This record gives sequence, C-alpha cells and structure tokens, in this order.
Amino acid sequence: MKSKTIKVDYLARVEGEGALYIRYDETGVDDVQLKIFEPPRFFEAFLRGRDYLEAPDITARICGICPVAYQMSAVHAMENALGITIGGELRALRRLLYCGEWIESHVLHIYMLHAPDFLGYDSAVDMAREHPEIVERGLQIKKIGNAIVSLLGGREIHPVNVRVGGFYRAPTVQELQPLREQLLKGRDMAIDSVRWVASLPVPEFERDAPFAYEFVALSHLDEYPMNEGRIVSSGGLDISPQQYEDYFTEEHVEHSNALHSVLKGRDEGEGAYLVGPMARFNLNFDRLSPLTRELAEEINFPRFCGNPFQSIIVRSLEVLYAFDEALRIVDSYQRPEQAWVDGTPTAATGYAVTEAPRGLLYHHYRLDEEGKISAAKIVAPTSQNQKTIEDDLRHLLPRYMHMPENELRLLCEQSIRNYDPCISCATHFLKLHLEKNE
Amino acid sequence: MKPLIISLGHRFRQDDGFGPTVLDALRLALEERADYIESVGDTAALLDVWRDRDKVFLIDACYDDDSPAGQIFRLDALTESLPADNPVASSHALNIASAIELGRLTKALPQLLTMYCAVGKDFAHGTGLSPPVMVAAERVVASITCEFNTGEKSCMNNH
Repeated sequence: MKSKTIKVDYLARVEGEGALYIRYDETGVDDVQLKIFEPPRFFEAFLRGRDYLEAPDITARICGICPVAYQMSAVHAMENALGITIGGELRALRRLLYCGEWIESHVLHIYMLHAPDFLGYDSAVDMAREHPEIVERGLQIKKIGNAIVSLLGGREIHPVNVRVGGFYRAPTVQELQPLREQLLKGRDMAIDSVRWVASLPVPEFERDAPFAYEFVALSHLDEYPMNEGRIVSSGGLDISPQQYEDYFTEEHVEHSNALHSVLKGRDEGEGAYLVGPMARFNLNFDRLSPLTRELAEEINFPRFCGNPFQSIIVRSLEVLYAFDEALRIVDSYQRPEQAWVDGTPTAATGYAVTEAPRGLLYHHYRLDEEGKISAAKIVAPTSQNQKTIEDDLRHLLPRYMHMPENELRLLCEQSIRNYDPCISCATHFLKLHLEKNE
Repeated sequence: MKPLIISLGHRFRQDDGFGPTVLDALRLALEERADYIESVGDTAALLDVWRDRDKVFLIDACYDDDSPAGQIFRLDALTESLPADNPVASSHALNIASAIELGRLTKALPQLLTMYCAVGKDFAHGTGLSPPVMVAAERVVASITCEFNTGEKSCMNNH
C-alpha cells in the first residue's frame, strides 16, 4: 500500500518557526513530527550569574507576544524564594496587567492568525480585504489590551514597570480612570466577538477514552486563575507549583529542538497533557464572571469543551472575562502606599506557575546568598502541549483522510494553530550528560 | 509631531539585533528629536503606534540568499511592496509586510514610512552583530542622522 506524506516546511501564522511532517496511508498514520528547528533557547544559561532583580526584564524578551507572562512567573518565583508576599492592590494590579496581555494575545490569535483558517482565507490580510469591519474590530479590541499593558507596563509595546515585590511605580486612581470608558466599550465589542466566533464553522473532532485529553491548569478557590493557584488536572492531579518537577518531566525527541513535557509515571509514549484556554475553562468554569457564563450559555457552549477546534471560542470567552475582570479591578482600585515590597537577597530556591495566554508557564530559580541566579529552569506552554498537538494529528487524520490532499494539509495546520503555539518560547537548551563505558 | 523610530528584531539573536543596535545609537545621536520604540514581536501593535504619525522609520534585519551580509535596503514602505512571505528572521507572529498591508486596509498608516533593512547571516541566540552587519548599522545610523539634519530623503548613496 502506497504511503503518503504531508510536509509543511514553514508553518505560517505561528509565533516562531516550525515544520510539520506526517506519514500516513489508508490504514492510518505512521508518523507525526512537529519539528522545531529554531536554534535552542539560551535564556536559562543567560540568566546564570545575573541579579535576581534582572530576571523579569530578561525573561520578558523570550516572547514578543507574551512578555507579561514571563515577567509574572519570574517575579512570583523570586518572591517565593525570598519569602515576599504580595497582596491587596499590588496583587490586583498584576492581575489587571495580565488581563491586558490575555486580551492582546488572544485577540491577535483569534482575528489575525486563526479565524482565517475557519473562513478559508490564507491570511488576515486576505480576510481584511473582504471583511475589513471584522479585522478592524479585532484591532480595536486588541488596542484596549495594549492600553492596559502600556499604562501599567510603563511604555508602549514592551513593559518595563514590573519588578520583584510589585511595580516600580503604581498608577494613581486618576490615571486608571480613563481606562474605564475603553474597557466598557471593549467589553461590548468582546460580546460581539464571542457571538461572531461562535458562528464560525468548526470541524468535528473529539478524543474519547482511552485517548481523552488530560487537561492541566491552575485552579484558585476564589478566582479564574492567572497569577496563582494549585496545579490541577482532569485526571485528579492537585499539587503546588513547588511540586511541579515531581510530577512533570521533559523528554528530548530527536526531530525537535524543543523538549516535550509529559506527566511522569506513564507508559512510554504516553503522558501527554493539554494546557491553555481549554484546560483553564474546563477546570474553572464556575469561576468565570456571571456575564461570561451567560454568554457561554447564550451560544450553547458546553461547560466542558473537548474539541480543540473550539478553543477559538474559549479564547473569545476569556477575552470577555478579562474585560469584566479588568473593570472590576479598576472600579475598586486604591493606590497602594508603597509600589513594591522590599526583599533581602538570600540563598534560596523559588518556584512559580502562572497562566500565560497559551497555558501554564513554570519558572524555577536558585539564588546564591548575594541574590545572583545560580540555576534557572523555564517550561513554556508550547513545550507542554507539543506532544498533544502531535497526538491530535494522529487522531485527526483517519477521520478526514477522504479530503483532497491540499485541504487535509490546511486542516492539519489549523489543528496546530488550535494551540496558538509559540515555538520560539518552547525551544530551550538540552543539557546532555555523556558517559563512556569502558 | 516628532518622527518615530521603531526597531524590529531581537537583541539576543545576533544579527537580528541590527534594529535594536541602530535604535540605541540613534537615541544617543538624536536624543529628544525623535520618539523611539523597540518592538520585539507584536507587529500588529504597531498599527496603533504609527496610525497618526507623520513620519516613521522602521529598522529591521532581513534574510536574503542572494545578497551579501550587511547589504542595506531602503524602502518607502507605503509605495514599494514587501513580499508577504518576506523571510524576516525575527519570530514576529504577524510579519511586517502583513502588518503594513493591514494598516493600508484599515487606514492605519503614517504619512511616511521608511524601512531600512540589513541582510544578516547569523540569527542564532547570542549577543553582538557580525562584522558586516555592524558596518551596516553604522551606515544606517549615519544615514538617518543625516536625513534628520539635512532633510534629504536619502543620505545613502550605495544601497
């Protein structure tokens, strides 16, 4: 029986660079390789010897789309190491900043990168030629996310105001107030956005037991997770961020520079899990705002989503939630007396997990007595999803093999974009230990 | 309104740091005469940034098999088209050609948009530019500074 291959040498509309190779025949899929050929990340090595205060700004440069996520995981890990606790308005401001990044990142992905797949366009530019009003709405919503990040981050494009212990400067109540009007307008547009995204034609795809997803996300008693919580899963996991490396490990696969994260203690080839909007939504639905839940009900969206092609709808609901949450924070904000809490450098180890737009982002640092970083470990969401992305393709192809080859290739690309992979985040350096047998 | 100078690219990716290197030097040379933004990925955000501007300069590294490292291209990005699959090396989620085209379609472009690109050869992680790209950076700094000082559209005679 003749086998066929799908090769995409350059995956468009994913952050970074990647390639896809699938070998299959009529009986099924032989091989799937999502290749990451970007040079390995050197940031973990780059951080060694640096002062603990530098970590937020250095790690923010790992990804141009989600710098806040890297800053948040870095500051929380450093605060965990130094025994600093952030509460009250400083905590709320961080959550507001994260709302801004979720809006920016999700809307970029929904409107510019993923929606063209559902509507049969090659790109957002092609979509904008026929539907300029849709793309314009996406840009307007995104602009409000940018405004939040600019205001709290201290400058346009790349935030610099975040520091270990809080912020370099906390905004006044008056400075935050102009955001309110924008947020109200943005929330209305986000509602329209949910309705529009829900109308897109979604390919059917579910994975039933024993191939069902294991969803992993943060979970917090009182709020939809962003900056803190326990790591929980649909398989019953419930651990603290400090225990992350006891339950998850990274494996090197030959075809990729990125390490694949898997759950420990599973049979070889198993252990894949799913992080990101779907996992957050499925594990924390009841902590979404009433308005967000109301919209989910209006569009008949289930409270447990098992089809990754519907992740675009979940993202749109999270955008709405982020506006709602941002409004709540702005309305109750009182400027804190101090913009940051001081810490004393000491030899210590710190861990943190926060919810980047794409999912769990783990940071682990070891500091020496002067507060210099002696070891750093960063696990990005895309490396945690990569095995699941490949597994999806293995399960997807047999169902759609009847399609013309070009359409099948596009469907595979769309399937990868379900995860909004940030490939430049996912690649980092693998340390090899060589031992010679005598 | 002051001209806006935007660098694209990653300062920890060797020749991809061409844009930030030029930006750093122009900050020192031109000081308050321009506004400056270092963009590291979200090119869609530039539409808001440059929408109401009179004059914007974009500085980026590019990759071109047919040109030597350090080759400089100066483009009027409003009249000369960039190929949509322009292999700009940085990991921009939306490439700069698409961002400009989206700006055109949504009427979010500045009055003047000048792009300086230099061909890079090494985009691996690390700091520092290769020698030909460093020379290109110096020439682009001189060219833009000259443009500010004399009002000449291009102070570069070999590109």
